[in-house]
Amino acid sequence: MTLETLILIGYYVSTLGFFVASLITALAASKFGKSAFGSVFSYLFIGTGIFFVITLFQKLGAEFFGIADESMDIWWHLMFYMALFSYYLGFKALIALGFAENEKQVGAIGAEKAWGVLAMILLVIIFIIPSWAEPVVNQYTASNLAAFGFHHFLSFILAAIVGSYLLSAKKNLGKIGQAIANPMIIALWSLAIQHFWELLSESWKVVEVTSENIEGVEKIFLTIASIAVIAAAFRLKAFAKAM
Amino acid sequence: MSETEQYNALITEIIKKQSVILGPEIAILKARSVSGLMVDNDGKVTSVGTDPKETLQNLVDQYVELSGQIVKNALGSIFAKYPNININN
Repeated sequence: MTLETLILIGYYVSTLGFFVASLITALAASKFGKSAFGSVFSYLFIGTGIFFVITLFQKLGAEFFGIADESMDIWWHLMFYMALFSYYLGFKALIALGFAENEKQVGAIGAEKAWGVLAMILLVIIFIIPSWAEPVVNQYTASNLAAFGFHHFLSFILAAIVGSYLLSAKKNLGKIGQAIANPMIIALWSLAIQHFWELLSESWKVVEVTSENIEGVEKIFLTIASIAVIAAAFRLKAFAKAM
Repeated sequence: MSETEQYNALITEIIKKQSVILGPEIAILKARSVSGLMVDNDGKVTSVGTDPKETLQNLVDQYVELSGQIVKNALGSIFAKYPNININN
């Protein structure tokens, strides 16, 4: 089996994985209705849905959007930040629940819908404007900041922040926190390592391998992340079903 | 207010607070799984059984098992209103 075939399999596994996980998380979130937990799991659904959209964006490729490969990299990283921000909002709300003394501190239930709409609009914009925005993106990709790998570094840091919130969830939140914490920690660290790998291989050139090998290793971590997200979604669904 | 009425009111408040966190469907389902506790569709307690203290303890244990620290914090302000009623933490 060639490396190209393995990369393709990795792509399909991760795409399908994020799609299935999105569906399951949405079903589980609906079970909690209009509640603080319903709000938290809706954020997780939005984040996982964005990961699915990222895989579609990558499959369409630079040629489809009429942009350079380096620009593709920037656009999907923007979506990656959105996905992680959604997870961050969800887990932050979950942690806040553990310290809420009254209903007012439970958080704004319904804010997840506003974020969902905003995320949808941003995704549509990202699918429409790449060729128009190419000169601006090119300025960044030609900059020292891009050469340093700022976009990879930011992804790595964001994943670590969300991961630390998850550790708190695991300690304080009973069965619900425990159900999703372990697989999501695996998913987030896989994504963090994926970006650390990109930083080392693409930006800093500490590891010198072909671009095909770089992509192959990336797909391994992406596949692990998607499988872990599916596991979290199934655990969440099983938990909601057991009620 | 009689002791039973106090338990009814306290447990109803707990279920209402849990409805905000877990959603009404799950909060009420979980309450109905407690032996002796009868709850209507709005989350209002209609009966606490023969041993209200044990019913209350079982209900709190169920919610704590489910969502840990969230419940412990949420219940503090409710129990403050009913100084005569205590349970094990």
